[in-house]
Amino acid sequence: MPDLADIVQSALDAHAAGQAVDLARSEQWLQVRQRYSELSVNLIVNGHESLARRIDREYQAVREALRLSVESQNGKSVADDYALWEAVTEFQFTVGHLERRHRQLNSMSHVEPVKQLPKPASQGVPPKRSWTQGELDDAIREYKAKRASSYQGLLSVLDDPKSSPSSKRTARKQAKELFGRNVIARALGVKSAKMVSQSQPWVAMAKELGLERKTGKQAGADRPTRIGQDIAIEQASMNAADTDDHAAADAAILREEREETLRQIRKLAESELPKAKESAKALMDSFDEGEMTDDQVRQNVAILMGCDDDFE
Amino acid sequence: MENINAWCASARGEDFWRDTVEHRMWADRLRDDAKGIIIWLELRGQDDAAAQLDEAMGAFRQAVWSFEEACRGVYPADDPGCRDTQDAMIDAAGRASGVAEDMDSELPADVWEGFFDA
Repeated sequence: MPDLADIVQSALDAHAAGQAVDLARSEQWLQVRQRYSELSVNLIVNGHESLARRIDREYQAVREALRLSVESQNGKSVADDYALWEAVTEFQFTVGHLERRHRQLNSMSHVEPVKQLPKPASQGVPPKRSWTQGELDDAIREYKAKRASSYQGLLSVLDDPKSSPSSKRTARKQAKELFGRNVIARALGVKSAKMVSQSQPWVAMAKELGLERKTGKQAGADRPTRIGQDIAIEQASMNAADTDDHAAADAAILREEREETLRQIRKLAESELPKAKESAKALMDSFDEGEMTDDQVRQNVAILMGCDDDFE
Repeated sequence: MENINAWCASARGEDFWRDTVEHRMWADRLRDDAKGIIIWLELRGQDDAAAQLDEAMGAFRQAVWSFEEACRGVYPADDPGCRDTQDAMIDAAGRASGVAEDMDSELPADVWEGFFDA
C-alpha cells in the first residue's frame, strides 16, 4: 500500500498544473482523506495526541485552502496558488516524517492494547456475500414488504400536492435512509452495490420515491455556480462518486464504511471511559490486521460505550 | 538544519535568481528539514520547543510568500522592493536556524537519541 505522503505527491504530480477543483474531485484526494483518517486515529490510539492534533490541524488547513481556492475561481493553478501549495506541502512533509518514523511511533507508544475485547452477539448487519440478480430482486421485494407501512407513509407525503416543501424534504431524506441504494446494499450484505442499481424492484421503488441516481450530465446541470461554504470540498468529492460508474460507486461505499469505522474507533479513544485508548488500540490493531470487519469493530465500540442497544 | 548555511549562501548568490523552481526546491527542503525536527520533538514530548521552531518556520514561510509576490517576474533582481523581501526571507531563515541551534544546546542530549534512526 503506498504511503500517504506518496499519495499526496501523486495528487500534486497529476494536478499541480491544473485547477484546485480537479484536485478536490480526484481519486487521489479521496485516498488522502481516508489515509489521513487512519493515520490520525493511529496516533490517537498510541497516545501521540500532540502529533494527532498537528495532522488534524494541517489537514483542516489543506481543506480550507482548497475550499478558498475552489470558491474564488481565481484561475490560478494549484502550484501558483501559494496558500494552497504551502498547506498541501506542509501536510505532506508532516505525514512523510510520521510514516518514516512508523516503527518508532509504535515503539514509543504510551498505550498497551487490552488483551480481551467484548464478544458481540452476531446481530445487526449481515456479512457481505455474492447474490444472483434473481435472489437479490426477491430479497429487495421482501425488504420493501417488511417496511410496507413506512413506504406507503412516505409515498403519501411525496405524492400529496398539499404537502409542504419542508415535509417533502424530510420524507425524501427518510426515504433515502430506508430505501437508498447503499442502505439496502449494506442491509442485505450485497458485495457489489451495482446489483442493487440493476435490480428492477429497486429501480421501481427509487422512481416512486424519487431516489434515482443522477447521470453525470444531470448532476452537472444543477450544480450551483458558487459552492456552499462548509461543504465545497466534500461536495466536489461526492460528485466524483455520483456517477454511473459502478466500480467507483462501490469503492465509495467501502471507503465510507471504513471512514465511519475509523470515526467510531476515534470516538471511543477520545472518550472518558476507563481503558478507552487501550480498547481502541486493540480494535485498531485487529481492524488493520483484517481480524475484524467494519461491523464487528462498530459493535465492539457500541458495547464498550454502553450504547449497543442503538447499534444497527 | 545542516542545509541552512547552504541555503542562505544560495539565496544570496546570483544563481538563485535564475530559476524560481530551484528557489522553491531549496525553500521546500528547508521546510521539510525543520518539520522533521518539529515532529521528533513532539514525539519526545517537547511540545514547547517544537512550538518555538514551528513559529519561526511560520515566519519563514510568510517571508517566502512575500518574496514570491514581490519578485514575481523580476529579473535581474534590481527592484528595491524585491531585494528587501529577499533580505527579509534570508533573515527569517537565519532566525529559524538560530532557534534550532539554541534548542540543540538547551535540550537534554537524550532527546535526540534515535533522531537519525528513521
